[in-house]
Amino acid sequence: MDTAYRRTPVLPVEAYTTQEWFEREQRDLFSNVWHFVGMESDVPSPGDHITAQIGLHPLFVVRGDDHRLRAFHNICRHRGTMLLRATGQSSTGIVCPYHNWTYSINGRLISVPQREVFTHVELDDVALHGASVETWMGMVFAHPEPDPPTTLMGWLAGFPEHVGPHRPDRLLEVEPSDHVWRANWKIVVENYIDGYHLFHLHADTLDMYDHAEAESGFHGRHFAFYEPPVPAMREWLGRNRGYILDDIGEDDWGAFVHMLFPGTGLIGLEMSYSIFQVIPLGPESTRVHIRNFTNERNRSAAKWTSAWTAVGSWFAGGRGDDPLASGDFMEEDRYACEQQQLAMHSPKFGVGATSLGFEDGVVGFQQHVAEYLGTEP
Amino acid sequence: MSTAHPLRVGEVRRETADAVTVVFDVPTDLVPRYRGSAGQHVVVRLHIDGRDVRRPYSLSSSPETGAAPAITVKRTRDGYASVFITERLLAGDVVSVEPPAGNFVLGVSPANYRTYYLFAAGSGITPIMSHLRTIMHIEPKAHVRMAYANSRFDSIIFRDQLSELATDPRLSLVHHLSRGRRWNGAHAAVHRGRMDADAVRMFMRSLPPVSQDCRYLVCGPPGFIEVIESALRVLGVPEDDILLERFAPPPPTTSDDVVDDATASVTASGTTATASVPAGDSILTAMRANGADLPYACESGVCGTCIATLETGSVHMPVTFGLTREQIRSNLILLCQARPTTDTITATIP
Repeated sequence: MDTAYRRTPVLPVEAYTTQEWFEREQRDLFSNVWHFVGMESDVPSPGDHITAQIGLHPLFVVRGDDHRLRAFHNICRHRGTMLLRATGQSSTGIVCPYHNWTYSINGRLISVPQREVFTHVELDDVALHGASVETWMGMVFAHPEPDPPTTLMGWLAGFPEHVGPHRPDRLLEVEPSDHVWRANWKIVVENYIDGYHLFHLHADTLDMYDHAEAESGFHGRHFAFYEPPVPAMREWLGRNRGYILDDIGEDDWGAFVHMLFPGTGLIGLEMSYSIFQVIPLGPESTRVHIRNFTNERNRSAAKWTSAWTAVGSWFAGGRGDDPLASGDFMEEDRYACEQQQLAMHSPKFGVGATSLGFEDGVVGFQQHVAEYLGTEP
Repeated sequence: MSTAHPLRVGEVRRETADAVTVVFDVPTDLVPRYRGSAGQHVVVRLHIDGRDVRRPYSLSSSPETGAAPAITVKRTRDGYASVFITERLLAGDVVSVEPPAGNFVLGVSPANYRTYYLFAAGSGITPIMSHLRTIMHIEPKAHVRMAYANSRFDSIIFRDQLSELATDPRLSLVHHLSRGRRWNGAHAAVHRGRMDADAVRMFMRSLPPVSQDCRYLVCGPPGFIEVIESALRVLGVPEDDILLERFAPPPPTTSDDVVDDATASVTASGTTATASVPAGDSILTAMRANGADLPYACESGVCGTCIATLETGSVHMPVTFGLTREQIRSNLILLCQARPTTDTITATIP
């Protein structure tokens, strides 16, 4: 038993608690990698756009008249004002709210009001700063650099072969969930890829899957995980095939629970697909935004709920306001993460030991973060 | 200096009533020279009824699939060479063929994650077919959206081979037929009417890119090329992502700057030939009248066979489709098009 205080397997505790480390991460990690920013279905038509903050960079992705997606820095070239907010339509061009400078959806400056006071500016010489965008299975990824060090396929290399049979671009979106967890984003990711806690924290909530049979590992920096259903779950699925997604054959029943580095979880189950976005807000605050997808039959709210209540025996009913008795594995996770965050402020905090095997993901993930940021506080 | 080699015709395969594919048997030692790249053409030198004829024909085969080089030729009205090839050429005949050349090429790689938009009209399918076979064979992550315009069902070259390729979900195939009987298509959508700007817009909307790294390849007669290119540019497709291959040039433009009786000297393989060029004639025409043996083929500024480096002087070229923008910037000229605009011209053939 290791009794060293103030440390985790690879990273210092300060990596989870200080503003200084948070800012380094934003600059040196999040500004330099590909990130999931939305779905192609968010931007079906020319002019449709989505915005995203990637590390230090506000970006937007817009669909052109040629139906290609283009990414730009969301900064007016005049005084730097943010051009677009949230998700929407801008078919007539992109107009800066400050002085109405207008850009085409290809990023070119097309008009400046009161042109007579800007005769020294040639419209053709001004364009939005370009960024990169690429799509994979209907998911949109962006990178702040116009010529990133790797393409999206290069960044994912080795992982797509393990992603499993789910095709989110063939599914229909249902209600998302959006919560702020009072924990560092890395605690959220580490909990997500920890195979050990499945047996214990989720003993009553995720017992439809056979954790002892789980297969997992890193492909590049990305973590792939699969576990099969327990026999009783397999039997239930056999009796309720209508709920099962078209692309999921019997051999693929089970839980595919992946984590694209640094913080995009992909969760493929028999009846649903979810994208689990881990978005750092501050050193001890993380937005967990989950987008959910299913088939037509499960889609309407009533049926969607019933798909889950139908497996009610696998989800213990909630009891009062105790998150550990809520019957909701997400509440259990959130509770565990927030408690760990609090504990990190204790002078006695330290990670005593990690399991042989089940927590390898946690160690590997920390090593990948350390590749960008080192291990010094 | 381009050299031609005698190649035996291995097979003449009829594709439609007026189009054939000619497969060449290439001797083992020449295989690397005749491999070429998808989208390139070969110049075929024919001796027909006492007359020498040279014509560039695009490869329809893919050098990546191990297939022997093949051209596909459609008989054109008054097409001296195409009539001979489609009606008289037989397996076992020997014809003189120059190695593949041309700029209508792509960098293909298994690592590419691209969406290709292919537009072909009529016999413009030939180099597009070569690209299509190459992409499907070499790039497992690529998706292809292809629009192929023909007048009628019977004139669709490679109809069955395209249907077969389109059983792969990575290829989406749309036929446009301007006339003739209805056809439901096989692994393909069929639209009636000409391929105009509206049709391009509909095509792009119904088949958005799968990956965002896109290339657009267009081949067909001049009217078709202009319509597709302009429609793509209006939609915001960047110029650099569009590759064009013209099968016949538009009418040449003229220039008032062309001088009369300029002296042109062209050096090839260490030998210099000189000729006086009358106003309006190309350097190639003047040189050939003087008996110089220079490489050429289409005499239309399209194939690029007569490429040369301009050392001194300047020229007007009505048609420069055989050159890339980069080559024009680097002072490369097409002798079949070059009309001197200075009194003295010197040029070298690479």
